[in-house]
Amino acid sequence: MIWLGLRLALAGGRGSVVGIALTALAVALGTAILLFALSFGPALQDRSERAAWRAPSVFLDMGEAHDGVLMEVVEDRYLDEALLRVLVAPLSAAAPVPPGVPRLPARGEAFVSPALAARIAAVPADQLANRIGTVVGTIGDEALRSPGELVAIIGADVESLRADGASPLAEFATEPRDPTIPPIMVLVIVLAVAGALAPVAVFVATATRLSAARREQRLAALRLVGATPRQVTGLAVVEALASTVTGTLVGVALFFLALPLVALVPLDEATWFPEAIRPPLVQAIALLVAVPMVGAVAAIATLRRVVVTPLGVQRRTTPPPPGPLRLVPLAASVAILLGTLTFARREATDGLGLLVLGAAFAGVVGGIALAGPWLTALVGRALHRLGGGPAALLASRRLTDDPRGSFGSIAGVVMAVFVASAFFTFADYARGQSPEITGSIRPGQVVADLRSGSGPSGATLVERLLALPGVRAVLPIGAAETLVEGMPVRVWVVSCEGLIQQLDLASSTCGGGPIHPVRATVAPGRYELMPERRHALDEVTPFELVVGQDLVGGVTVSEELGGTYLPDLLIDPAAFGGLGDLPLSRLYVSTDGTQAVAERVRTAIAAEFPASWSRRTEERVAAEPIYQEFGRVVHLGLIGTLLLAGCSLAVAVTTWMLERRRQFALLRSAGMPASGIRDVVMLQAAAPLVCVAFFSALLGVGVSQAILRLVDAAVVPLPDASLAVTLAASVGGALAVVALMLPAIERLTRPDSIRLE
Amino acid sequence: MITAPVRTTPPIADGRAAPPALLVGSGLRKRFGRTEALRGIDFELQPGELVAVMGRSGSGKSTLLHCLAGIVPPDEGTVMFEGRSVGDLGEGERSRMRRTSFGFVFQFGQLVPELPAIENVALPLLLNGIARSRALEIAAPWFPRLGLAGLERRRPGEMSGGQAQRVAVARALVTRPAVVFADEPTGSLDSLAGEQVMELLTAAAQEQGASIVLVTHEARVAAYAHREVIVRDGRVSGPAAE
Repeated sequence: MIWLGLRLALAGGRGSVVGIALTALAVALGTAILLFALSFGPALQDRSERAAWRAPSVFLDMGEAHDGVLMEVVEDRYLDEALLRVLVAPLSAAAPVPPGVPRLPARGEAFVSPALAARIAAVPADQLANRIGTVVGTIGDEALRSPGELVAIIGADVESLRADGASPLAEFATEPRDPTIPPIMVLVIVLAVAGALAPVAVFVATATRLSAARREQRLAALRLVGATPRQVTGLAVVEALASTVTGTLVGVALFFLALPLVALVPLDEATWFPEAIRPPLVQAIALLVAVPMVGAVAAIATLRRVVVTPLGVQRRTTPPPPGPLRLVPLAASVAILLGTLTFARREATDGLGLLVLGAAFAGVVGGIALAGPWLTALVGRALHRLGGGPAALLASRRLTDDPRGSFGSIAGVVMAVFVASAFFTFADYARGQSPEITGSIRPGQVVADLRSGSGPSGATLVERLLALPGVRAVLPIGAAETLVEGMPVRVWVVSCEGLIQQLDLASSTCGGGPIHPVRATVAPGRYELMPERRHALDEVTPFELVVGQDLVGGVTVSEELGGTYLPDLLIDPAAFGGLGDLPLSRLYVSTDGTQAVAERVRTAIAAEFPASWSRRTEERVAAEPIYQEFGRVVHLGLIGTLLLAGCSLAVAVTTWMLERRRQFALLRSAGMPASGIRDVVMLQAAAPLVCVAFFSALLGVGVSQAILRLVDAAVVPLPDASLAVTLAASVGGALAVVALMLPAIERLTRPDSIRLE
Repeated sequence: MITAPVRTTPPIADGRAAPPALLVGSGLRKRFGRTEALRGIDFELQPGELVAVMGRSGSGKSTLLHCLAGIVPPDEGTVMFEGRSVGDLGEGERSRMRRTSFGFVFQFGQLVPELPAIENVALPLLLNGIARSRALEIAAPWFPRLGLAGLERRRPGEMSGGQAQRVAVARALVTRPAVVFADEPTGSLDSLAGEQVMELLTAAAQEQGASIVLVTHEARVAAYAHREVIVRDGRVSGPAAE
């Protein structure tokens, strides 16, 4: 029986082989996507474990840290990449050693990641190496989040680290802290997998239909000869397994082939170690068994009609038209989705909640597939009423007579439109979550937060920076705090005019006098000015500030600044000589705008203040890069989804034309021109495609808006015109695919191609 | 043109008591939606007998054949084959009966287009669990016998209509069935090819002692039968004229 099944599956000529190959391809894509989905959790866990050592959750008190190590993690940047400088200083010879290095680096030495070593070797030392120290070795992969991560473990001395407020550790952590990916993003990723599988499923179904008519014909013929239902089912299962088992195996191969590329897709500012992207063995085996089984069950389900009677193909009755009850699963899935988010919001992002939401989202997609034929029949009836001419008549009759088949052709694009609409909304939300933190700083600047109680005096650093070629000005700022009527007030000791110049605030002006209230009001009197404490253990000496009536000026700050970066009070140091000794807290360095100069400035600052971090204006660093990365992944996924949908449509239209070539040829022999046939094909695809896709887009936007509002309780903006443009391009592309198939009509439906047997 | 055949003698014609009928349909009724295809038909088939069922298009003759062959269950009435009620058999048993005791030759659509001719002929044997090499061995002699020598590896689409019907005849007879059901077997053929097919079918069936139920609307084709049954509006309207 297995031989006969395989013989039947493979002996059908080019059509059968193409059908099997396309089905196998679709199954392979689905398998690969599911394998990657299964690997996501373990890969995330692996990444967290590799980085656990530098994110300890337990610190010691300084008094009990005799054999520990001091560690300070500085999140710096080099060009547009994150650069992690981990400053360490052993408290004794028995101090613990982090993973990936043979020993702790001595003061001035550093172990660096391979990627950082490559960058250090590529540029002059004053742009990067000088903020790292002498490289004495590389860090092993076991201590890196990703292969391309820029990390340096830098040896420092205990005193300076202690002054910088570094925390002592008894040992480096091995257990990762909770993952840093926001739950909403995990939820969206789960939904993305569910959504991505829909076009794959449609592709499988479309590819299966490619040879369905002939398969039904031959199986009915077998039934006529006396094959039992069980034998026919067995043959169909063997045939289905031929494509699904092949597809599953190809899917595994595809998974491994695509692994290096997928490993390059960044998430949370890090790519992946390919070897870490592995699905759990038991789940992977279960998946590889389940996929062919689902294929076999689907084959049995589609054969029901032939199994019932050996005359199944010859005496096929028209099934009853689809009714509005088909909307019920869609409505139920939407209700489950929104109900879960409304009534169990807290549980919605744990394992079970995500499973329920993922299933409900898949249910919505499946609901569209079920409701699609009903909508298609509606479109057919409308076309019948509105359209004139033979093409509209034929197309509308065809849509109402076989709405399932007609919708099947466009289902891939409709699903893709739903997924695109939903994820465009998610992507817009993601962009809204990542404001750019340097929005109001003038271009060509480096803003440094010195974060240090150690290091040279401000004046020395300013001189060194001004001596660098390409540096135009340096604005040093001392930060402090005081109490006004019992309320804490943040103070910057800085030239108001200088600050307004450095910031991109053309409409802001400083008033008269050396004291400029921004948000606070200051009455004349005596105040105690406390230099900004970086750490709880910092010892600070208060400065005295006497404010007279004549000293208080004003400042007009334009709205665009929003007060985000300015303190409550600005004090001009020139008016208070004593305040010049206030420790430097922040620097605004104007440069010629080149990256090399900016990196020199950063390097010079970090060399003097190792715990400092700085940002270039041009970096336009997102506060939450993960959201932007998510947006990129979504767009990549959408391109893949639409491509797949296009493939489905091409296959479906080809199948449809091949199945009806005889009828079309007869119409042509009766005098209908080929252009009329083309109009029928185009109308039958275009009318339901445009209408159902519009419905699908509305549903996608509505569902995603509801999810985001319920989970985040945030005001989520409606997608902008780019969604409309993308959707129009998608539908237009789909119609172009149909149009590409039209020239074949001339050849396929030639009247002399009619075969009576 | 199909020439008038020389009728052979029915198997039992010597005045002795007729043996029990091989296939009996009693009070057969069948409805498709509002259409009543069969309205209480009685039918009998003796061993070795060739009966032509005639009638206009839509008269119910094909439905009668499908009911007798166990393809379509009648709404009312019974079909007895070799003394067993076909309606009491499960779907699996009915399929087995079709495979082992019946053969079919239809107008078109009964050959599996993907399989070469010899595998089409061997198909019922394969479904019976006979090993492939043995099944092909049994199927092979039918090709020269039916004038198909050299066409064993051709697929149905690569043969003429007459050749494809002869393959169908070979397939119908390869299991040595008791009854061959032929539904318009010459309907899609020209008269010469139709004549060839009918002669081969009747000769081979007679040689094997098989009975034939032949559905046709062509008098010349019906002339091959021992008797005719006329079906009109779902009823037998005429006696079997000898």
